[in-house]
Amino acid sequence: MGEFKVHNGKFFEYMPSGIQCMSYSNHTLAVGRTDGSIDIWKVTEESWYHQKTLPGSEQRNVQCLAWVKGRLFSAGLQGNITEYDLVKLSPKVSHFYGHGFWCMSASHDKSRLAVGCEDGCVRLYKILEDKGVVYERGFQFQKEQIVSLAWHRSGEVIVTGSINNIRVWDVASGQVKQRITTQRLRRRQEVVVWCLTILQDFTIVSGDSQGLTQFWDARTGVSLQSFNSHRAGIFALCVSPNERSVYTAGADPRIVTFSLASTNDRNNREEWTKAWSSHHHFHDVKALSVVDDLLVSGGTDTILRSTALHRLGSDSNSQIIPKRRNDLPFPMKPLVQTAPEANLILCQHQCSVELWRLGSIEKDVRDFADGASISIASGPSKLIEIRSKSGEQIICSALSTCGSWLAYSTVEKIRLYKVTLDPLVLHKVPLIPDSVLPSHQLKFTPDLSKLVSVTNQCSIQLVTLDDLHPILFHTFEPMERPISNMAIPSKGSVMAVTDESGLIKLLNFKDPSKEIQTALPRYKPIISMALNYSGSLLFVVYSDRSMNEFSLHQQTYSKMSPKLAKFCTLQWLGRKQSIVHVEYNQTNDSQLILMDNTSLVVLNKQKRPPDDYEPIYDVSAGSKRGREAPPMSKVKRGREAPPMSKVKRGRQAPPMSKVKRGREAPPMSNVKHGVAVGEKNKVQHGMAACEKYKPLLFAGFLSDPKTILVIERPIRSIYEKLPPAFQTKKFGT
Amino acid sequence: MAVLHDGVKVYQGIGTDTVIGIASSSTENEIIVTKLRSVETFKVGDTKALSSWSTKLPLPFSCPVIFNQSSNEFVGICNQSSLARWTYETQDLSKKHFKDVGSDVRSLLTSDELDEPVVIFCNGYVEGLDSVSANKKKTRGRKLLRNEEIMNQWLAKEGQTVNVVLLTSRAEGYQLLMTPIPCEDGGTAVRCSLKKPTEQSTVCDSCVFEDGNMSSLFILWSDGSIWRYHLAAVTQQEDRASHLDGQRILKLSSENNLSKVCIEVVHADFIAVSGITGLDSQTSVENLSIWSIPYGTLQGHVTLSTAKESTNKDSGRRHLVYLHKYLISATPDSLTCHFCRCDNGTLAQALGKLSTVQVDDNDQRENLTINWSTDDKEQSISSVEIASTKERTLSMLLGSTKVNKTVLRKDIESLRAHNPSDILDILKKVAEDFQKRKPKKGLPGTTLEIVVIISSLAGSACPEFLSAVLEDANANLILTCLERIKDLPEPFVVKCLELILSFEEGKIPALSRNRGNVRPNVGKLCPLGPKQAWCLNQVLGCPFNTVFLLSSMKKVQFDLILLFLKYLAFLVSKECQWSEGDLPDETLVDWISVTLDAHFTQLILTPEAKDILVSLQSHVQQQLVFYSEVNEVKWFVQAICKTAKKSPKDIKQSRESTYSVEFMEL
Repeated sequence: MGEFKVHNGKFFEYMPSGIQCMSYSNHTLAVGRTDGSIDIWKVTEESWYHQKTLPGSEQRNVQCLAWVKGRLFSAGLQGNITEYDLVKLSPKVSHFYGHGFWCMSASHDKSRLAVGCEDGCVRLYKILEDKGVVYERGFQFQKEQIVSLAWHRSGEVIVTGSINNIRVWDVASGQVKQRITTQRLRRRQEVVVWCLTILQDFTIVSGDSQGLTQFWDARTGVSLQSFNSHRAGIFALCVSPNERSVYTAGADPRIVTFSLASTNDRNNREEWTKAWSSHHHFHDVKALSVVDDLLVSGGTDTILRSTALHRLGSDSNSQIIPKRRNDLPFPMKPLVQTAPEANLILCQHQCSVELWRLGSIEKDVRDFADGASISIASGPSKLIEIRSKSGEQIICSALSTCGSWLAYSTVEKIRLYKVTLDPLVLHKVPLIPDSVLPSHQLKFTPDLSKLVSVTNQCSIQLVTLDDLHPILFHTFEPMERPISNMAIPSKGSVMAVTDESGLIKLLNFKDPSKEIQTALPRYKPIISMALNYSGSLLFVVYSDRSMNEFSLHQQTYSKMSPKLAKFCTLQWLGRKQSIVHVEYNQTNDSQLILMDNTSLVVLNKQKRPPDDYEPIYDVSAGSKRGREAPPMSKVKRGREAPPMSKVKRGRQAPPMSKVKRGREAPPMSNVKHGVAVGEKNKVQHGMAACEKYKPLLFAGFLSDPKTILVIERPIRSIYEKLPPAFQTKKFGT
Repeated sequence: MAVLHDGVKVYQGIGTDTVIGIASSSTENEIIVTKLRSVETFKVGDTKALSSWSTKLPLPFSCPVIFNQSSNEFVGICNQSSLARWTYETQDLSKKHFKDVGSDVRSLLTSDELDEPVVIFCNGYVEGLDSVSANKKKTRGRKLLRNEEIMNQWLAKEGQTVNVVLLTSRAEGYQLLMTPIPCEDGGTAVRCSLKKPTEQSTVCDSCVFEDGNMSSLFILWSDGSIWRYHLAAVTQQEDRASHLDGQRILKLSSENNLSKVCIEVVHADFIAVSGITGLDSQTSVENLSIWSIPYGTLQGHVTLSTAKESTNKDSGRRHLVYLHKYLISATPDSLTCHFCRCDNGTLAQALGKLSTVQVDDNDQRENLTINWSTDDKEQSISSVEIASTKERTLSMLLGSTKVNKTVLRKDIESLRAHNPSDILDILKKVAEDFQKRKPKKGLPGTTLEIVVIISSLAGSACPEFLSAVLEDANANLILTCLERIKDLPEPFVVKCLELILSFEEGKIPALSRNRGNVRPNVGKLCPLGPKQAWCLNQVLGCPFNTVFLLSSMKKVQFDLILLFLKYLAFLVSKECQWSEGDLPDETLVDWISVTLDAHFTQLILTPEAKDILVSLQSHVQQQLVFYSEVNEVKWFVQAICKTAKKSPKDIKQSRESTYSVEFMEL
């Protein structure tokens, strides 16, 4: 497929934030981070993907999260209860009550929120129909702050954990029904009950700062069982939906499972037993959540990890096959924008953007062996760093292809800059009209006439570029659902946008009055898409990693579409990482580059698709990955062909035979070990993957179609910047 | 003053491997010790050898091994004619490291200022190392005279040129040969013969010291005197047979066995002497001492070894080298490093040191003392002559005879050279006379100025004279004392300050010599007149110790303190833009803090002082703001320096770690 010069940059020091809390409901997982931002993950049976991020703010600490009928609430120590607008990606309403909130839980009937406050009071807030909450009443005060809280399913009882004690409250009267003093392992050392829950049978499960997991009877206040399960504080605890398993995690950073198992005595009594513990994290685990059949955990190490919980056998010694999945804390939209013509890139940090000039190679070297490094004439250099005003978090940024325009948007507004390179001058465009709304995605048109912005109100705005006074040129009709992606061709006038449901809409950005009727088939949410140079072909990657191509002239699948379906082999679909970025080679429509957070793939549609047993990825390095392959049933479901109602069913339909082939696929162990990457003779098919650079923040073509830019962010360098973790003695150290 | 710390014994030899020389190595604090059969490198002050090589061949090293900075290799000479070159990485010295050079080599010398080391052949031929190793069969003609032998050799910088200095001996006497480097065809030496103290004197040890671009040769003669010869005089001489005159700087007791004494100059003002004292082999002690050259006082003294410790102390040569702030003393069987620090200090401190040593170490010190006595036979001026000179000077100073400045100068110079204590006597008598006759007659200001200038007085030696000067209140004489006497006691400085502050501008006599010309344009804001300000600046510029100053400052009248503080506030405000005589900020701050400290309560209570204090405070605040800004700049500069310091290789590496381009077939 030709030799590429791969520019590998590691200078973008992106620093994600640690995970503070989680809440799951209705196939949506909200993950609160220490910087106040909230990631929204969409969980479907065959795949799950990062859908969007609600930017945080210094004024809004997210200590706990709660879903109430599809509405997301957060509370924090700064004394705010905030409801979020998931379309605008901003707070809908924020109430400040003046107490620091440690914990929050919604009643099971979803009518009220109970919060535990710094001043030692449990307060109830009624959830209003339209938006926000209103204060209802407070319970009796207690001396210590309330750090954990849980509702009983009946809605009549609330249990709270604070310092040295657990209290059981009668919701109706607001009085303490039961006060349980926690066990102390060391004298004169306070015990903080960091997490607790109450099961339907009135068993309280608590985790405390001593590392003790304890089971209590809420009615009598008697300790049922106590496990010294952790070597340091327990911060998170969750229960399986059937209430037969409890998972705890904390600073040490193990995840310990407790299972309810029958004892062999006459009464056939059931007891809690410590079943297994796993060590997925290396830093404090702050949040745990059961998401369908997965246990999801997150903490200071910023990575969201999930483990499948499948039991093999029913006895207490049952073994669990963990099906792991690590989601790197990189957003689904690339944080890097390129200006290939000027050899510049724009790196988007949380509160700043950096403009870098890429390095250059010494001379035009031609005949080099695969993997040979080329000496650099000049290294990368940082030209500009722009920090957002008063630390507002940046949602999106854009850089024009020639590097002369730069824009970014926060929750509040868009900021636009004109960049002159020689000499380097940054001119801020002062007068952006108020009618230009804050943006979720920005792009410059290739002719530098307009800035295209996906607004926070599901519409697209076109802004005419001007040094001094940009004008709002046009606002397209808002779409029904939030816009998730946008693609603009290098040439042509038609751009494509897609919403969260996967609906594709085409818009004429040069002449907005010309409406384009779109009838492209809809399949699954589109994670990334790209238009070719002329704007005639639209390549889309769905949330399950399946790929498709549309011909925009004919408003149907392109000729290559059936062949593309063959490229979606089991191995391809079995990988969990979503495709973050896809790009056509500007000179060759049959070549594309696709990138997820751990690999980059160069796809050549002209070549044959790989067979199911042909390795795409480095199998020798990915022997573990073999296990990651989802169960066949899932793949089968995942292989439903996109609905073809709008087009003639027939030859273009993705062949279903592949699914069969998938079943027939030989076991992974039979796959020839050896890497396709770099071994010229072995790669015959049109899908070449490279896992050499990871984790990846960006991979795309530069101005020369034979040059690829790869921006790597070694996970080790992220770890190095974290605070010190709980030290455990290891053998031999 | 010089401080000599107790030594660290780096090496205690056993067997026959004796130290033949010590040289500086490639890195800071590293020395190369060459022994007959082996070479070792040490971190100075550390006992563990960093690396070691030995000659397996039957060739002993014949001169100290040096490190060639340009090629990063060690260079040594074995068996006089075989050149050895090796690097840090070399494990063992084998035949391949040796190369025959054809002629007998005397020594190797290297300097930072030279591109390559210099090889000195026994016949006086001087050649660069590279050309020596290139031409084995070159004939190297004799550069020395008949029966002439090289005794010692050095590199010495004279102006911008580096010279090879050879000290040679002949039956006729000692010769000094200077060959400028680089040279062709063995070099053309400038020659001159050394003037000996006496006809019988022989050279016991010698060393060369470079002070800036000037070099001096120090020679310890067998009569115990150490003489200094300025090498600049050699190059300036045209006459080949000329004699080089020296200056005696120290006299060691000649009773000792001087053949085992080594000298090394550690500083322009200090010389280290090591040697055995005590004639009796049972009681003899090996000592190391540092002497002040201008004052002839002992600065520090340590015992190297006693007779019992030293087994074969009589055999072999001793070495004394000053490298990396350490005095390294080598006897045939041991190597000791002494940390040695030299500062410019006052004579008072030097004397203080002397007195403590006397108390502690009375018995050991007696044999190495300065002999100022006049009973030396070679003394050119007889005691009778001195007495008459003294009389003449005294009568001139007391005003009984007419002052002839030329005669006076000559007399003082001769007195200073032969019997400095006479000058002190004279001054004492002048002071006594002044006390008797005051207030009718003042001190003979102009003549006394000459005395002070020429005799380089120590303040602590003539307290009576200084108090007389203060009483006389002659501005010019006071200024001369401030300029010339470096160890003025703090009370004297404060008295001067008080005196100058109480002067009225109009009554200050015209300042002599150049002083009037540098009168500053003080502007209207200055609380003092220009002459007064200039005088006061001289006082402020004197060396002082704030602790001693404080007690004296407390005694100053408060109105003078107010005036003084006003003047200090004016100085720090930088409203005056004086080109000359500008005092460093630290000195001013010291004076301000001492003044405030001494009169704090009164200053707070006095309303007149308020304005001054406010202006000082605002100035301090400005300074704080300035320094905080400077601090910020510091980080910038540090970051820039960091990148600037990085070698291109480092930059390349760091660049590669964050950025790389490679070919990939996909």
